[in-house]
Amino acid sequence: MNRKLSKQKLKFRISGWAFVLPSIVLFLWLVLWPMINAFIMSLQKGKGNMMEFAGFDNYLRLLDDPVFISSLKNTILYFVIQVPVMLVLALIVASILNNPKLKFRGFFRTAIFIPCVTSLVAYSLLFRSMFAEDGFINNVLMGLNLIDSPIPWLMDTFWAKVVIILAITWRWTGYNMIFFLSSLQNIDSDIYQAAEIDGAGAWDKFWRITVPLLKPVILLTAIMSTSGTLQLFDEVVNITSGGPNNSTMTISHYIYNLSFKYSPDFGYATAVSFVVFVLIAVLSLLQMKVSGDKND
Amino acid sequence: MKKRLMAAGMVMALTAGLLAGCSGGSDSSGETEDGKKKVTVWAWDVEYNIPIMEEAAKRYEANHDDVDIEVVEYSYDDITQKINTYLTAGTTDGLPDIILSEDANVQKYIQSYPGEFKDMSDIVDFSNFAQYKVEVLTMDDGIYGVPFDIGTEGLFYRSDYLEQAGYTHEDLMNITWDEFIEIGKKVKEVTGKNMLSLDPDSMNFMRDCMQASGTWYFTEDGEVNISGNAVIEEGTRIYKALMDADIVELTSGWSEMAAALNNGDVASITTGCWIVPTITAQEDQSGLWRVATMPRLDTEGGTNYGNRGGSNWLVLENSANSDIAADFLNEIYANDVDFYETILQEVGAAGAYIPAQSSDVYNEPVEFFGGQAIWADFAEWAQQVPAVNLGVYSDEADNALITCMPNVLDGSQDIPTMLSEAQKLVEQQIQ
Repeated sequence: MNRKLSKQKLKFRISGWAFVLPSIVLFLWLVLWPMINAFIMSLQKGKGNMMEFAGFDNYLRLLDDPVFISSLKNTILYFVIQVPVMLVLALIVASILNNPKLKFRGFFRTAIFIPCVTSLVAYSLLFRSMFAEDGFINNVLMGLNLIDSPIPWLMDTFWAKVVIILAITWRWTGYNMIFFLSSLQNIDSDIYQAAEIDGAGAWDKFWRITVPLLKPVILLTAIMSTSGTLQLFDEVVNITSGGPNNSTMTISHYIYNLSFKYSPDFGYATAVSFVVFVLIAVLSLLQMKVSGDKND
Repeated sequence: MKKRLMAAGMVMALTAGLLAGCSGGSDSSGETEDGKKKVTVWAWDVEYNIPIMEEAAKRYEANHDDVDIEVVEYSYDDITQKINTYLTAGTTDGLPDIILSEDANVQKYIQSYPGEFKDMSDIVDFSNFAQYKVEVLTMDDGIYGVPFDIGTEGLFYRSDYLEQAGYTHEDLMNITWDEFIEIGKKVKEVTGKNMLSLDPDSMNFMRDCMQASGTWYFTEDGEVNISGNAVIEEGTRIYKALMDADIVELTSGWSEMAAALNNGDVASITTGCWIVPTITAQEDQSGLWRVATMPRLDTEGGTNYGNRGGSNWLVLENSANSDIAADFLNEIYANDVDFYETILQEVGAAGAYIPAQSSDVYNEPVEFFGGQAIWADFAEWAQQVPAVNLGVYSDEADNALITCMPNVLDGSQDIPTMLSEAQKLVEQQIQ
């Protein structure tokens, strides 16, 4: 009796492992192994194939590489300004669209989501031409007599950052909104009714019911946006190509330059990408700690 | 049970298909189905170097019916990425036999991947090419490629604007940048147009100055040569003077630059002769454009002859048919004068092959440029361009100067201080 049970148990275990085995093998082969290799590569330096072992030189070099530091600053600036603005905007839009009394909800929902299905490069090029010196935006602003002379959007260090932030906000707000909207629709309307009976206003309902119940989704979108912003690449390359004076260059863009624009230095480029990896991991951990990942 | 087996079978089939899909596609045997030797070429411009290469392929195939040359379009960035990733990974499967490479990229390739590119010094007679183009391809004793086109620099200007301001063609030939600025101020005063188009996110201006003065960001031994380099100091002074004179139309990227030219917003541009098809694209400006020599720096060694861009064909040593590829380049690009005449007439491409430049086609007047025989001019100027060693870190140096230049423009630093800072930045970048 006993033996039979353990045999069954064993069979159960084997089939369990058999199910997860493919993904474990794939993970080890396609994720972990390249990561270990990449780390080894980050300890080497040299051009192209002429690599030699250099210990932690690449990581020390990071500390006083002004281009790396300015691209890190830019990336953090995008992240600090853009992520909160976008998430708050997405939350507001989602709450408005969740109102059953609103007409043409389907239309608005689609309209706001459509930017997310456009190609990154295509929309970046569009922004680039819209914000050109003689582009659409300047023409409209001048036509409305809001400005006297065209704003050099892509030529000025401040305005170029503004354009990048506007662009990624336009592109990604709808994407986050969909997450909010879908979980808003899962909130039971009874809760709101009960709160109304207790005398709660719209503001209270939003802050005391909607936001707490959306917390897991807010956390999810925050982590996704953080990781997305830290890896920002397409927009910057296509709208400003990192300029003017490196003022919009992101870390990913710098990694690209190190590998493909400058003399190929894959060792150093890999070291920089490990910094991004550590940053994302630390920030995600922080976000989870701050907002409590226990879903309580 | 049967169903399950079928499902398992299907999964296996799909997985196998997926894996096969990954490895398939690259044909490393180097032969086509009908047994011809296949040579693949990667190039990036469907209006320019691709039709030219196809013309070359047609000519070679006519003499060698066992060879099939295929020209594939990849963007400039894609070629760079693929070459770097494939060669770093140590595989040439999926790479072509010949790639096109811009002058500034060649040394990066041949120094980063020694043994991967074919030494052509015993195959091609390089005395028929402009010396500065051969320099670009040289490493130690080897010459790793065949020069294709030249980017001889000229001052392309609108004769109507300049005439209004009272200047003739002779007034623009062989001038210094200081004289150019004075002319530019007058032109702006009279016509209201900016004199010059510049992209503040590139250091092409500085590269032009250095090439024309026979120096570079780096010495022959690869030491950074920015701080205390008289040419770069003078170039920076002129750059600031251009900006202070308010005669520069700042443009960002190729399309804004092209628009400034085609809309008639600027009176002139200094750039390589490959800009000709872009300028002539605006047909209603026919007859209004002329080309003069580029302005020179008033320093020792400063000339009015520069070069910007231009490219070369490199053969991958370990590709299936690298010998045929090398023979092909030699037979057409280093021997066929008639080929160069054809591409000049049909595409407007000036080859780096000197014997072709004395042909009659070069002396024909170009109507768009008011009957000026611009190709003969370019060919003549090309032979006087000083040779410089571009090294492998020019992009890094560009970037350092772009970063530091604003400090000079707003007056917060003097030129020597800014350049020593840029020097430090480059040294830091290239360790």
